Parts: sequence; C-alpha cells; structure tokens
Amino acid sequence: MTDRPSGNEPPVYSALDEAEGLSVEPVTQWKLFKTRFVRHRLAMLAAVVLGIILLLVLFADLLPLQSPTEQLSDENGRIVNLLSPRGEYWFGTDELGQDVMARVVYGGRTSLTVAVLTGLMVATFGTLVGSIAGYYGGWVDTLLMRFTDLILSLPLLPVAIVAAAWLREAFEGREALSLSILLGTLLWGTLARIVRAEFLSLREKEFVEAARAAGARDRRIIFRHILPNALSPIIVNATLVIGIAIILEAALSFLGFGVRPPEPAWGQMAANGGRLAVGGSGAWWLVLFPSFALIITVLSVNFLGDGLRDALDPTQTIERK
Amino acid sequence: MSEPLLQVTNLRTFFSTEEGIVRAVDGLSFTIHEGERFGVVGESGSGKSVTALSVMRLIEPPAGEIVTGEILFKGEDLLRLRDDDMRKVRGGQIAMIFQDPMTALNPVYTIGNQLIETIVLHQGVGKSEAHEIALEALDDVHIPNPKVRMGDYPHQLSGGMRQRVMIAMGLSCNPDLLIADEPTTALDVTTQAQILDLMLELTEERNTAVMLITHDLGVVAGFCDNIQVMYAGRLVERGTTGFIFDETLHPYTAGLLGSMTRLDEVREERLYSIRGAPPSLIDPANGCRFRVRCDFAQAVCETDTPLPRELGEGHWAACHFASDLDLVRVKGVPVR
Amino acid sequence: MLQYVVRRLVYGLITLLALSIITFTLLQNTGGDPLDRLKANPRITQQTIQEMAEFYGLDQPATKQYLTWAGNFVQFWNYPTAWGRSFQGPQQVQELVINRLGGTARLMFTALGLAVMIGIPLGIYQAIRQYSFFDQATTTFSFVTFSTPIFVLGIGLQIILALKLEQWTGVKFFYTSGMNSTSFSDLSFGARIGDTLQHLVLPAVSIALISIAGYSRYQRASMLEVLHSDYLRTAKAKGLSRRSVIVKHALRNALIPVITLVSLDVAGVLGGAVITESIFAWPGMGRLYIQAIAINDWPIVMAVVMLIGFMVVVMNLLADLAYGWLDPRVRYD
Repeated sequence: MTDRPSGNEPPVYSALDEAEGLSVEPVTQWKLFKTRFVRHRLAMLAAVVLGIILLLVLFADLLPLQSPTEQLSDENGRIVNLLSPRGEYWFGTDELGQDVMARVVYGGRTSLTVAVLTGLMVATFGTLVGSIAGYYGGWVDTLLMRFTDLILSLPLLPVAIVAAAWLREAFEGREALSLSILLGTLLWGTLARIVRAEFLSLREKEFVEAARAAGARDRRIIFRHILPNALSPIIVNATLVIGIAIILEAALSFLGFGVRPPEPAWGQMAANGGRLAVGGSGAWWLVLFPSFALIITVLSVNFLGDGLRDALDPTQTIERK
Repeated sequence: MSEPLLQVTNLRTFFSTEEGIVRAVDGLSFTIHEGERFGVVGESGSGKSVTALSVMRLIEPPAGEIVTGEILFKGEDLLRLRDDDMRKVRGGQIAMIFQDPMTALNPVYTIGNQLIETIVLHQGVGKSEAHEIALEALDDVHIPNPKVRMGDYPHQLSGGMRQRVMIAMGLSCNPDLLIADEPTTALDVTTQAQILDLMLELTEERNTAVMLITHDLGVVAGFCDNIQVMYAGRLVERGTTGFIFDETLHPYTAGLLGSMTRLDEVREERLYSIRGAPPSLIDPANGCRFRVRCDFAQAVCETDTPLPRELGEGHWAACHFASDLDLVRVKGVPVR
Repeated sequence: MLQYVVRRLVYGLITLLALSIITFTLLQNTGGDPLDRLKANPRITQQTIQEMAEFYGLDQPATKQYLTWAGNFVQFWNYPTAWGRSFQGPQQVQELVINRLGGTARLMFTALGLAVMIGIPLGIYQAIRQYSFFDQATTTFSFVTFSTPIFVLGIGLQIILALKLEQWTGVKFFYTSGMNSTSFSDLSFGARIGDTLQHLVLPAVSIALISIAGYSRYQRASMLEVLHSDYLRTAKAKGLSRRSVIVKHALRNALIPVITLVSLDVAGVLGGAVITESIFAWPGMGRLYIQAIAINDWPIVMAVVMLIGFMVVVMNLLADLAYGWLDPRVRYD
C-alpha cells in the first residue's frame, strides 16, 4: 500500500453561500407539500363531516323534520306524492307522500347504527381471535386460523343475503341489531389476521420477556402489554370495516333483505327510487339524495381511515418518499 | 503523477423535503487517481453516500438535485453527459456496489441472469459468451461451484456470498473505478474481513481504483491509501492513511479515532464519544458545522467558515486551529 | 408441491361443505312450507308434487334432507335431474342454473377483463408519475368510486349514460335491461355484436369501476415500493436503460402481489354481479338467486351458492399457484 498524496482545489463556500439562485424548482417542493397537506386536511374535513352526520342522526328527533313515515297531505287533503324538491320539501317527496329529507336523516340512523355496531363487533372479536392465535401459536394458532380462513373464503354477498333473509323472519323488528351481528360475523376475519400478525412479531420483543420475568400472567401480558402496541392497525382497520358495513347494509336493503318499509334505509330508498326514476317517472330526487348521503358518509369514513393510517402507522413508508 | 481518474469540484447536492431544502453535500472537492484506494469516512448524514450517488448521477429528481459542481471522469464532465452516454459509464466504467446484498439483488431473477445482463450490456457480447464470462467472474470472487450457483436465486445464498456476487457483478466489466458504499456493514465481522481481502486482491490485480465509503475507521485502516473524512456535507480532513491516523489535524477525526476500540490498547477509562448530535442540514448556520460538538471551539468558529487548507503534503484539514492543535491520543481522549 | 395442491383442494372441499351446511340450515328455517307455492299453481300436477316431495325427502328431518340433497347434488353428471326441480314450477334446477350461468359468466369475465386491463396499468402509471396531476386526479376518482355502493353506480350509469344521453341526443347508446334485444335473431352479424355490446357495457362497467379503483390503488402502492427498492437502484447503477429497469426489474416484482388481489376479487365481482343483474334485468345466476331467495326456492339457492363457492375456491387455488410460479421465494411446505 503506497502512500500517495491527493490534491484538489479549495471550495468557494462564500461565493455560493451568497447565491440565492438555487436551481431546485420551488414547484417541486410545493407539490410534495401540497399533496400531504391536502390529504391531512381532507382527513380532518372528513372527521368534521362525519361528526356533523352523527349529530344530525343522533338528534334527529330534535330537528324540525317531518315524520319519515307519515304520508303528508296538502290543504285539500290530497297526498303530496312525488313532489320535486321545493321550499316546503327540500328533498321532495316520494310516491307515498313521505318527506324524503326526513327519510334520509332517519335512514342514516339505521345505517350508522348498523355500521358502528358492526365495527365494534369486528374490532372485539377479531382482536380476541387474532391475539390469542398470535400469542400462543402452535395448535391454537392453527385451529383459529383455519377457522378464520374458512369464514374468509365464504363468498360474502351471497351468504349475507341468505342470512339476512333468515334474520328478517327470525328477528322481525330488530333488524338493525341482527344485521350488525350478521355483518360482524362475516367481516372479522381480516382484522383477526392483522392482529395475529402484529402479535406474532410483538411477542418476541423484550418487553414481553420482561413482563413475564416480573411474573405477569398471560392474560395480563396480552391485554396490558402487547395490545396497546397493536392498537393502530386495529383502529385503522375497524374504521375501514365501518365503511364496508355501510355499503353492505345498503346493498342488502337495496335488494330487499335489509330494513323493510315503511322504516327508511338508504339502500332501500335508492332501490325504490331507481325503479321509479328509470321506469320513466323521472323522479331523480328519490335516487339522488339517499345515494348522495351514502357516498358522502362512506367517503368520509374512508378518508378518515386513510388519514388515521398515515398518522398512526409509522411503518408505512410508501407514500412518504 | 498521471491525470486524475476522477476529479470532483465544488459538488453541491440538495434535496427538497417538506421541512426545507437539505444540503446533503455542500461544496465538496476531491480527486481519485488510477488504481488508488480512496476511503470516505463519516457518520450517517455526513453526505458520503450522497457523494457517491452524485458521481453516478443516481440522484433522483424532483426530490434531489445536483445543484452545482463539476465531476470530471477521465477528463469528461459527467454532469454534462447525455443520459445515454452516462448509462454507458455506469456499470461499465464506474461500478457501484451497495450495502445490503439482501435487498440489492432482484429477488425474482437468478444471479446468473443478473450477472449476464450487465456483461451483455457493457461488453457487447452474446448470451453464451456472457455466460462464460459470468462463470469466470464468480470464480474470481471464490464462489464454489459457480455453474450451479448461476441458477440460484438471491435468497438461496448467504449474505457473504451475495456480496461476492455483487462484487463479481461490479467488476465483471472491468471498470476503472469501483464505488463501494458500506459493502461490509451488513455482514458479520469474519465475513467482513473476507470481503475486504477479496476486494483488495481483485482491485490490485486489475488496478481498479476504489472509493470505499464507510463509517468504520477500522475498515479503511487496512484497505485505503488515502482517507477523506466528511461531516455535515463538507470535507473535514483528507490525507494518507498514515497522516490521518498518526498525525490527526481535525478535532472531529481525533474524536472518531478516540472512539475506536483497539485491541492493542490498554483502556482504563470509558470509551470516548463525541458529545452532541449531527446538525440538521436544512438551513445550516454559518461557521464551522462541527463547532457545537467540538472541545476546542472558539468565537471565530461561529463567524467564519473554515475552508480546507493544505497543511502537509496532500494533507488537508478544515479547521481554524488545525495546525495549532496537537491532537495526541492519550487513553483515547484527544488532548491539546 | 403436489402435496400442497392436494392440501389446498381438501381445504376447498371443506369450505364448500361448510358453505352448503350453513346455507342449507339458514334456508330450512326461513319461509313456510316450500310446497305451498307449488300446490297453489294449477298447472302443476299432483303427481309432480309428490315426486318432488319424495326426491327431496321433505317429510324427513332437516339433517336427512341435507344428506339427501347433498347426495343428489354431487352426482352432477346425472344431468338434468341431479339438482332436483325448482319450487316455482316444474323446471329442472340444473337446466335453469346452467342456462343462467352463461349470462353471469359473460358479465363476470368482461368486468374482470376491463378491471385488469385498465386498473393495473393505471396503477403503474400513477406510480411512475407520482404526485402529478394525473396521479392525484385519478387517485381521487378511484377513491370516490370505491366509496360508492355498486347499485348507486349502476343506477347512476343507467340514468346518465342511458336515459339522459338518449334524451339529449336522441340516440340510444346503451341499453338498460337484458342481454339482447328482442329482435336479436333478426339482426345481421355485425349488428348482433353491436347489440350485445350495447347491453353489456353498462352493467360490466358498474362492476368494473369498483375493481379498477381497488386494483389501481394496490398496484400503485406495490409499484412505488418497488421503485424505491434497493435492487432497482442496483439496476440503475448497472447502467441499464430506463425501459429495461422498469419493464424487466420493476414490473415483475410489482405485479406479483396484484395477482392475489385479482383472484380474491372474483368473489367480490360475483357479489357485484348479483346486484347488477337485478338492476339491469340481466338474465344471469345472480338474478335467479335473488328471486329464488325471496320465495325460498331453496334448490335453486343451494345450486347457485355452490357454483359460486366452487368458482371462488378454484380461483383462489389458481392464484396461489400462479404466485408460487412467479415468485421464486415462495416455497410450498
């Protein structure tokens, strides 16, 4: 190894330090900024929108709305059916003279109740199964995961329809609750998988060994130590499941297997409206408002879920670069 | 002294991020000669990898850009080359190998496929001839049973073997310069030594210049002719290995050396570590970037940026007090 | 490897078994006496009713009935009687369902084809031009589509692209019901193709839009991950052309995960078909299914569910095999 000196020219810091003209386009930086900024804002906006929807729906009774199932009539006693949107009826009326706006708001109650209940069920059951499977491993894991895989491999909508048909008869009147149970039963699989994966990796970490060495029992370790660390994917996934649940419930109502008239439900209203609108009576408002409500709600839920994922899940590096 | 092989002048490479513009390399100049083994040493964030990527013009717009500078390779400014011509240089005349061989090789193609690909591209030969050359290359890096290994996928090889394949790929087209970015960091110590020995053997044989980037002074000690120490995107000290280790001029270098463990030293006190943390490279303040962590900083260090000065033959240091400090390592702690 | 396939087939069988049991049990407890409808229909002879009762073992307990049904069902080569007669009329279930299968298959494959041909390249392009206007606009559009229930899409397309478009232009671009016009047989070959397409477009697009949204999003993420990978940097460092880098090194890695997604989506597409067929009065299995459930015509329901389940199982298996073939890191053990 020979010692060879190397040489160079001294850099000219001072001259360049003064130079303002950096050729890096401000546009470039701005683009990166703008995208993330906008997405953050969208998530916050979504949260606000959802909050408003929730309030409207929860306190529907207090709002100056017509009854959603009352067939309204005018001064002459005639049923005011199929009126297009106007001063008195902002969203118009349907073929039975019911106020569409009231029906949209009350319909939201059903949809959101089902969705939130489903989300809770999925979160609870999925976490339970996933954590036990992931923590204990071995045959417990195999058994639980086979079961989960089985549920996941059932074709979702066909089975949901059959089950919904049965539920309608078996639980007449308590449709919202029974639908939640149904959807919850069908949808917990993905969350269980995710939780299991988290537990599989987390249980190898030192803090678990430390807890065990301190004498903690399994249950304590699972719930007090590991679970809090696995919380973010659970929250994100549960949020997305809520969106899916809203769409599924709407689909079921649309096909006639969900909430039955005269109780309002968005999907059911859209089905009704679709038949009438396409059938030639041109009553577009019957389709538009419930559909719009659906889209806005699900969109907000999805944006929120997306935003939560960005904020809570540090391992997702894809969109950051 | 012949014409330098690689001459970098005033290189500035910046990155746009949400928080601002990161000045990853901020006015760096250096030279590498034919067959020279040149080490670039620094912490994470010192700009050493970015320097290498800049030479290869692998800095991706729009986030990153080589803002100014000149990179003369065999007399030609790489920054002015057309894309097509630069691609011919990459892999053919300047080859680069990376840190983590696990992720640096494409998992869905056999190593044979990836080797042949480079050879066909740069040596203009047909597939079957390339196959033969690939076998030779694998043999050169001492991979046993090369015929069988050609059909292996990266995940079927050990870390050391994968890095050998990377080296084979890099040297297969006989480049004039091999840039190695932390080639041994992801390997265990025994394998590290093997890989370094291999690189030494092969590059000496072919008179290939090497730019070895690492944070580990131990690695460069046995391998490099000249060492360049970088900090916060700038040059801190440069000289022959002998100068750097035995006649250290810059406090940072001394700190690095002090924090090195040595088998031949009796240590009675704690290992020295440089206090503080590397500065943010966004809107860096004036003056010496190391002063916050420097035991010898004075007022002038804050106001005046120290430019590199040649204080010995080919021995440069960027410090106002470089020639005044007598940095002797006593029990691992730099002492005035 | 063979062991793996066998194992998967066994799991598939178990899935189908479970599916049949679940569905059968649910159906048994719904609706009244299945024969009521038949008895009310004056055109069905007493003898036919008797035959059917025997065939299904309707006087026996539910478990027995299931076994009877299952025993008959698996012998599907006994066409057309293996799956029994429908409770709506004397038609043979097997005949009915197979006839309708064609309609659903046409819809399903068209939708899947559209989704793959549009969704995947879209995702790739979005990744290559990340943050560009195109990327942001199409991503937003996908997001909205994904959040829209399929029946809203269907009805919306019906109203906008069929009704309103016809109103505004006077030309009937797309049909909103059925697979073919009534005058189909009178049309020339060219006109027949046109007619078929005019009927097919709206329902297929309704289904495809949602899949496109999903595929492109997934593909975009996968492609981005690959584009920032170390091995892509190595490829560039080797001096490979941009085309070679993207087509040879990036694409193959990026496409692998999407294969799984597409196969899993088959179940979703079938579900979408069920809804779409109702909206567009499409003569497929889905519509048959809905009508049958409404009146608890369980032989038809069972048949359709089993067919759907079978298709899903097969697609899943194919996807797993394809994945193993494409990704050398996957080992079957």
